[in-house]
Amino acid sequence: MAYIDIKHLTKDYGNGRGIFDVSLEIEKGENYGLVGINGAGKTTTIRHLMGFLKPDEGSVTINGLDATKSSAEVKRYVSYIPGEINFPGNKTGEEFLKDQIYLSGRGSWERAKELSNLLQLDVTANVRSMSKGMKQKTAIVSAFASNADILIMDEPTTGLDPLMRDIFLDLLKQEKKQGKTILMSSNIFQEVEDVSDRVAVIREGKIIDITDMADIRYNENKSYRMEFKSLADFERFLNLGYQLTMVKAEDLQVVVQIHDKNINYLIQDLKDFDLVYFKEIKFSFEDYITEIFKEGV
Amino acid sequence: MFSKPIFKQSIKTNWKLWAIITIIASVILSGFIIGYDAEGYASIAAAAKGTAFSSLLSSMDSLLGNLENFYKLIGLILGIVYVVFTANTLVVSEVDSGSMAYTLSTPIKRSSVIFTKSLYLILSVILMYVIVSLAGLGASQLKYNNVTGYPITEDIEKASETLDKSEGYLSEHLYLIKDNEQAMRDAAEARDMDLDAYSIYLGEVIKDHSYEEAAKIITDERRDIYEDDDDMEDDDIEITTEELIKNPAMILASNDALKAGASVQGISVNEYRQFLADEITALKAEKNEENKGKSQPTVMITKANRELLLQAVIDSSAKALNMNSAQVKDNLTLIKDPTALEASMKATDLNKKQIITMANHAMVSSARSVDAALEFDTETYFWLSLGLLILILAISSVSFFASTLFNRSGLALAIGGGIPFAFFLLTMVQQLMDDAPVILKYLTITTLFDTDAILASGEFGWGLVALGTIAFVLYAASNVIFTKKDLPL
Repeated sequence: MAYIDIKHLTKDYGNGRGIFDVSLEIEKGENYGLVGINGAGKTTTIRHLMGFLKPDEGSVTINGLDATKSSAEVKRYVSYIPGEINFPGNKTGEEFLKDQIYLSGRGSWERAKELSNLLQLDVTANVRSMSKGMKQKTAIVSAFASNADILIMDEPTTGLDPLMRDIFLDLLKQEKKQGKTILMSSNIFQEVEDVSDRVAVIREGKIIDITDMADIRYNENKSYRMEFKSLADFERFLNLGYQLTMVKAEDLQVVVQIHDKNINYLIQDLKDFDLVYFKEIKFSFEDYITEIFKEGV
Repeated sequence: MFSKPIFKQSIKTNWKLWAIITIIASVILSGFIIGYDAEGYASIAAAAKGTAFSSLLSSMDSLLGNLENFYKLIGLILGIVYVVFTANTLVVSEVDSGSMAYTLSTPIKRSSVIFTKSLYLILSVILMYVIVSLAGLGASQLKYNNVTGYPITEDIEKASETLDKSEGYLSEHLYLIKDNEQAMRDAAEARDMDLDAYSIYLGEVIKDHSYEEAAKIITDERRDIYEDDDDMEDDDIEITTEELIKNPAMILASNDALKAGASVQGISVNEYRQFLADEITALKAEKNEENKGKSQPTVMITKANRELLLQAVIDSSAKALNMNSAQVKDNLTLIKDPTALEASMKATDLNKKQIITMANHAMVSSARSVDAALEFDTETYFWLSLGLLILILAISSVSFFASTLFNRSGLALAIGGGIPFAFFLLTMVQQLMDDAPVILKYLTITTLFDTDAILASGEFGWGLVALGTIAFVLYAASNVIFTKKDLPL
């Protein structure tokens, strides 16, 4: 059984809303991404993990414990960043963070202070008067300071400026190095691409794809784009028999797809040509997702 | 089940509203008690007889009756404001805003969270009404000294200045006033009576107090005797002041009762024995007089015609003195004015002695009814306070139930606040309208808190049990629902 094991999870809200037969297996120490557009079912899935919703069908287990029935025990391992953040009570950020550490029985205020400095968070502000970004930072500090084995985060980067987002993603990588299991949902594909080991794509309540990011990151088939100075060179290159994914005759441009082991042949051949430019086209996860969505339609 | 951190957090979030409502309710209840105008209400109630206001005023002829509007309206609405908003803050607003996610992402069970929050609401309501009731008790004691002793009336206040004794001490040693001519005059003036009427009044009050003290002793003695006797109910054992007034001979049987009674009168036990013997003779004579009726005046005063005759006397006195009847009614000593007496005798065919006796009697009985109005019945007060507390607990359970059932704060407030507020409006209509439709009382649970029955020592227990049951069931249901339901967090 996987560390976090979601089996045939169904929650039907009617009118096609909800999640249907969702199954995910997240291993210990894995950083798992859950992506999808708004309303795809990311939050509903996560709420089941937290025991806030009861499944219509299927089950969720975390570390062998039923996440619905033993939800209080499960919280000993789990730390959570909700999608919509509001803090209980009328207190300062510092009081809130200390209370959470006390209530959950783990984590340290020292670590929370460190994280606050890193994220430039003013913990003396009252939680009720905090801006969206400050709330988000406070939630992140609370989750990371808790030193939980499992981090479950629902769109944790919303409201963060790009600089803070980078700091957050770095923190996430550190946490992973320490062996934490992370499940993070997002509608920004690029950020999950940077940090996740595997990514599940959810659409209209169904998992439509699970991708191992290593396959994308270490893809040995690469694409190169180039432009020739003369029509003669352009036409001569076309005759060399490379696999071309794009040919743009009016601009004298081509895109060549080639396996890493054959790259030297290409470079040898190109010595005889007069080029305007030559560059690698990175294949991004975003392109990949876009492909999947196109196929799905 | 109980979570201390959650309880602390609930206090921290809600104590301000609690403190404000507690203070306001305490101040208003104390104000009702301190501002109670026994003489004023007695005369207004008499004037309003038969009008639309009579139902509002009829209960005001006693201090506790006067509090009915606090218990039925003001105490109720203040309690509703507290429980509606607090119930909303405790549960649904945390769910709606999402902050409940933080409470529930710690290893605290949902069931402990909701149990602790219900406990907070229940305990805070109990503490609130205990404080409010104690404030009322304190106000009454400070103002009238009537919780632990005899009420302090205006004549005692005045005489305490003249005699340079404390009011409390004097209220227990009224004979000191009787023994001092100046004090008597001042005290009589304070109560709008002449010396004659006041000395009759004071004599009656002292006699009643002495019977009351004697009754307590006799009751205690009987308790000792019948302690193990299962056939004797508490009511059978207890000897009341009223029983002694009818049959003073019972006092003669107990030395301790004699001592207590004598000390109230400020006389020796032997003198008190003589006094009681005279009383017993007088009571017998009264009975005989009723039967025979020997010396015949022209017109007999009977219970039936007393009111009418008094009114005739007042009217003719007013005419003779060139005043209106209300002025004479306010100051009955005017009847004794020679000109007035002359006119009254002509108008009613009563003789001089009869009219004077009648004037004295009227003054004494009105003064005695003011005294009675100021009496503080601790048991009635206890039931009024407890009844209001249970009613508010029942209403709090409605709000709390709505707060756990719904996920949207606005909807929960509309239902959990709307129902209690509707109860309040229905109660208000019933209190203020004389001919409110009977069906209204079946539409609100406030009917189950029957203040009229409590004030009249009637049957009110089952209503309170029903309210307690409502509270228990709804709180239990709230706990189950919250533990099981889906939360949008």
